[in-house]
Amino acid sequence: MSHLEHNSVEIEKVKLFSEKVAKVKEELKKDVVGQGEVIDLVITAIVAGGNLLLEGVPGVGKTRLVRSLGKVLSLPFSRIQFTPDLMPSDVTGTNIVEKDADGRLVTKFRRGPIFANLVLADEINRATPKTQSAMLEVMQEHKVTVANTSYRIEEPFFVLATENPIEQDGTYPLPEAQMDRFMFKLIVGFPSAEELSAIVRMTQITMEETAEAVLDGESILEMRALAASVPVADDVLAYAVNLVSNTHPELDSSVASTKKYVKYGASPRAAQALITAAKVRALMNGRYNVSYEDVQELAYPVLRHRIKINYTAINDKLTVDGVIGMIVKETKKVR
Amino acid sequence: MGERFLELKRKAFRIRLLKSILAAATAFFGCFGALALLSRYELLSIGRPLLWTISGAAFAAVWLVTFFLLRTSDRALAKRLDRRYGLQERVQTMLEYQNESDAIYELQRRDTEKALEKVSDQREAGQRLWVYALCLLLAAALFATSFVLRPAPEPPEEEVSAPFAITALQIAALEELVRYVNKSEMQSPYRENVAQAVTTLLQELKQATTEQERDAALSRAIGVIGTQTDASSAALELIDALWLCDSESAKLLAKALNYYDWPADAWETFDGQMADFRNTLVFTISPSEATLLFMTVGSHLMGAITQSGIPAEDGLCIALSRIAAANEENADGSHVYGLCTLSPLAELLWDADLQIELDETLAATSGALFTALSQHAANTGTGEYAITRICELFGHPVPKFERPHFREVSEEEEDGENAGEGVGGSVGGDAVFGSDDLVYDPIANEYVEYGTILERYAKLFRNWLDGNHTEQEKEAMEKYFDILKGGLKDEE
Repeated sequence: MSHLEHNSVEIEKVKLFSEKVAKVKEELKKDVVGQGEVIDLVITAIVAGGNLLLEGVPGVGKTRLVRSLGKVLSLPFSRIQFTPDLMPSDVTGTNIVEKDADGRLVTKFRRGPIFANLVLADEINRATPKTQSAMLEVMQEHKVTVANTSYRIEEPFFVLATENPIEQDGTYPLPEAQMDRFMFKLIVGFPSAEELSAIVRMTQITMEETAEAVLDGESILEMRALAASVPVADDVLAYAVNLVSNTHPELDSSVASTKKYVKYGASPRAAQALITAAKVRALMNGRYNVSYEDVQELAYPVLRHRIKINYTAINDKLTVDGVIGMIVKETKKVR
Repeated sequence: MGERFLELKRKAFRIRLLKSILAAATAFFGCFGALALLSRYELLSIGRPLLWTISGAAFAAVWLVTFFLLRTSDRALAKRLDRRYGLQERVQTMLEYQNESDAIYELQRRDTEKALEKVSDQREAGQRLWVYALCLLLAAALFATSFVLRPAPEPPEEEVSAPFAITALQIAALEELVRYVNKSEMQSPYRENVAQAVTTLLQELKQATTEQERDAALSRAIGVIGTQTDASSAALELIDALWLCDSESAKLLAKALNYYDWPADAWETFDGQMADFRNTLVFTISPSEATLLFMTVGSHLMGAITQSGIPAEDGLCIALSRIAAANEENADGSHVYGLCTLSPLAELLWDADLQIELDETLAATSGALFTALSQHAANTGTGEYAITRICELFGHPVPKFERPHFREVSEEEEDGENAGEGVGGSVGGDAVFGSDDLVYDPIANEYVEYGTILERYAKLFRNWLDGNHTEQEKEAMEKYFDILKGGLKDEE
């Protein structure tokens, strides 16, 4: 295949990207009313290969969104309901002793529910830190190690976790290391009255998800590869890096708001996530390069679970998003 | 790199060129206009050729600087386009990845080119051009104004004058001097004569073609003014005459009058000398001696007034005549002790009526003398000022103004330490002390001290030069030189 021919094929693939995204959105909207921004960001994270943390009060459709997504992507889907007595082995799987054909006792690894392409970790903050930690390796490296044996998870692999911000009793806040594994933290808000009416009407007909599969694992990996090739101008890249650096109050170069309101800043994974997600967002918007606007828009879902605000911010009645907004405003673009 | 971007780049270059030319033209017109106006109002002296040169240099310099400063790199242009037209960093991304050939870059370039198509050529061309145009308009207005207003006259070339040529400053100073003299208190017609002398000098100096002519004119003018000054000063002759009197009192009076340039001081000195005179009389106890003394002083005063040759109506002359007359009157037989004209003697003689009479006479005389001396001071001061001023203006040596020729009384003499010694004389107003050697006096036919006869010799000499000598003086002079000749023969 000549270079020109190759390029023609690739160009067609790029053009198909937008169409595929549009189809996914369309199908998801069959099951999820409203939440347009959340859906966009969920798709962005899926294409970018990141894990998602959905936070919202009970009943706003978090689990339904993830289940529907599993159907749309036609990927093996598993759901883990996190409870305080859930053990790590309940998640990852464990070695069991059984007799083989010859009647000898042998150990055999029984895979846990984590071995799927799309894992719904429902109410993840109800499990103990020990069980939560069992997710670290698999979320970052997409593999599970049990008794010195590592088992690779099939790609694509995503963890979509939900948590309830209200119920504090019997919950275990996610440790920072765990949080950092999530590309985005999305706030699923309460639907408007109009949306609520639509939800009620829809669920009177059926409680089942009606979305149909429009993508498969291979397509997602192709889309991910394509998104990774989107060019980023040096200034935009520098801006994303500066933005993340500016969340660190201990750095002299950080902005005033950070020094005043931030307890600790985001990890380097935040910068990686920003650029990776920004590339997907650019393609989703029919653009072939990353802009400052992409980075600014994604700063909120990328940073809100990675930075910790201090008591001054709480005292001043500021939210994390409010502080991020201030940091974005104070971070200068390279002109 | 896309065609559209290259096109915009070429456009940016053309705009840069246009802006730099506009800025340079603004500098040219502004510089020319400002300098021309400054020159017009004489704040700056600058000729037209230099004006054009400076403005041309400003044009070149500003064009170069502006063209350099406005240069734009591809990267800067890309950023500006992205920012100005909201292209979401498409252009700078395209520029950075212009050498990549993968499909995504190809698509990115096409997308960017498509976005750049929407960039308005007009808007791109018109960035801040109006500011440059406005500045140029203002500068052109300034330029035009400098032409509308009358250009400043070319500075007159400095006249290279000869050293003898009179300058404008000197002309103005002489004219001012004429005005000063005309307004002065100098008596007429001396005042008019002095003013005329200065006016004549001014005309002669304007026509002078050599340094010698200039000096001659100056000397003539100084001579004329000096003559007028001397003529207006009757005091000079009176002092000379008084000094030649044998009476010591008359000499003291002459010395007092010598300070006629300062009337108040003069009067004070005169008053003091009169007191000395009275004291002398006090100790001349004998009435017969006092009578004789008074009569002598009175006659000497009258003689001096007559000898000075000044008009009888001169104020000074009148004042002194009154003193003389009072002395003469008091010396006649109407009063037994009428010879005592002054209060100490009157007190001594216990004659109150005489005392009052004499005091009144003396007071009246003093007032008249003071007035007369003031006029003489005004006359002499004006004349001498005119001479001094002329000399100063032209670097001419100031002449030594003539003063009465009489013996100075040194401080030592006044202290009485060397009273009667230290004889000497004065020449041209300066005290010159001679020796104590004896010299022959042909008139008295005896040897006398040199200093005592010097003044008489001086007067004889002046009379001799003027041809006013008497037969007796002529004989005395011939005798004097015969003796000198004899002395030389003796030495031989």
